[in-house]
Amino acid sequence: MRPRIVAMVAMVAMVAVAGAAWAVKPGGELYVKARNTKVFKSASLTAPVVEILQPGEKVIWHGPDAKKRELHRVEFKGVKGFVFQTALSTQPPKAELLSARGSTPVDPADFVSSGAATKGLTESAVAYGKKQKMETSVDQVLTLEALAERVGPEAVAEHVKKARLFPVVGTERSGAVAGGGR
Amino acid sequence: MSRRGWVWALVLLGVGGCSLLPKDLARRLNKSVPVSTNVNALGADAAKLAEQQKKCERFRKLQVAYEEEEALGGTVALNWVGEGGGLFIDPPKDPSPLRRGEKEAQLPATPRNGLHTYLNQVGRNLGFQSPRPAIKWTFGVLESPNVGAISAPGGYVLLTRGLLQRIRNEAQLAGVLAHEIAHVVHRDHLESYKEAKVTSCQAAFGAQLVSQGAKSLAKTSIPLGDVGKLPGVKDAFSAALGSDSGNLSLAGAESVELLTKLTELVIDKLRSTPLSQDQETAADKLAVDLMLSAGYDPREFIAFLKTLPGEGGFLAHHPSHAQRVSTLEAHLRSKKAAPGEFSEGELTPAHQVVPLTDELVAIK
Repeated sequence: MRPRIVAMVAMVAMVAVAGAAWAVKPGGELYVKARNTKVFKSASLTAPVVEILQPGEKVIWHGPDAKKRELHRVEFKGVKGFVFQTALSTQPPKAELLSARGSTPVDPADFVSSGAATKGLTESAVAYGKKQKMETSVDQVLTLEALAERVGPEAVAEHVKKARLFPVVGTERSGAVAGGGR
Repeated sequence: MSRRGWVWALVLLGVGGCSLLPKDLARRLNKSVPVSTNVNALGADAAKLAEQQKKCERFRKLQVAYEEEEALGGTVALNWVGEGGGLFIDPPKDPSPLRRGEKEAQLPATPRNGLHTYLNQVGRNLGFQSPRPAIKWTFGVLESPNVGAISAPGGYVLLTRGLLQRIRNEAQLAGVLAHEIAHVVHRDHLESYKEAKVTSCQAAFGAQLVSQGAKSLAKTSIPLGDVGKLPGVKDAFSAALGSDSGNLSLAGAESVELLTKLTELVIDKLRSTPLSQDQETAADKLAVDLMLSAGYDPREFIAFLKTLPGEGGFLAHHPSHAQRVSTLEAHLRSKKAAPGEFSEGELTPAHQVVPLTDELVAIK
């Protein structure tokens, strides 16, 4: 076999293996991808919430509900319930590194609790802005960051409900998810 | 038009000012700073110095810590804001509480600020369900009338007023934001930063700059050869080299000189060469995936791409509009899972277009 053909066959095989690795069947594991993913007691977005999961947590997938196909039956540490389909993924979220934790990646929940994601323009960036005579831009970016930071999961869920989008990102409170596009 | 203005206009021609990144940066920088050129001149310490410079190569392989990404992202965003004519936002009359880090400071309730709140509702919904759900996503509108979008490390995504005026519905807006989110998720911009870090580290430890590429790199306000003379820089790189993570401390005000140098190198690279077609295609695909996940109809993003200004020139580095559309249509068809298997999301009648909100209509 010529080298080019060998390479092509190897590539096709790798793609097939990768595809097989991503295909998840009932009983297989999936990752939670969205923040504050709610696990409902029954297949309804207004059912009581039995658990709130965070990105990177693994659940066992048991397939979609027979009637409400967008709600999927899952199990998390023995707790059973239903999760909105697109809050799940076959792939884990990207790992983040925090300098304080060395070279060990932190999961998204730890990352949020570290407070690293709420700082915005650093002291050095503000000093850089002054040095480069970009004071106006600095004030504008500081304003933008303050506005953006006020748009938390609650405000997102409110918009999702109004726009009739999918209720993927949950609120931090327990209780039924606001929204429901289907 | 000034050189900067010219470059910015080019950047803004397509969705993806993201397309600024150099695909040949690594090649150029690798050639530009030989690690042991000055061994003879340095006598007994030469071997130690050469070893130190070689160690700098390690930064190329290590993931950049979020604090470092955030510091760089802030300065890159400041540059994009300056070159995009400023943000279309109303800061408070007295910004001193914000400067002191008081995030709860009172902000004017103006239509411009309302637009930004809306933009962040749409953008953060996508960001919170992206593969980097926990970082600080920040979405802003630039004053520029050109058509463009651009992102910066750390989660900054900026769109121009010119682009917003072309948007026909929220699904199209979500597609553009999701494309930029994808570049941050893929850490595309950080490749040029890693190269700048290696180069600066080597320069700090005395590498000679001999090639033409290196000379052009040195045409910033702080010549590369002077990096080692900047206060605290050698110590900063020594500390980074000595740690497992390779993290360079850039957040404090004492790091401003080094951050300035690194920012200049990165910005220079971002301006000079676009992202690769593969990176753009990957960003387009993730944009469609995020739209499907959130409940937007991705065909609206595809329709929006067809309305972009012509190709050629700087956009020659991108896939053609027709190619992008064809790739995304195929990607959308491929989302259907086999029976009995989990599907992360495929197009259904429940996916929404969502009419423009009052905040967006007001800008038109």
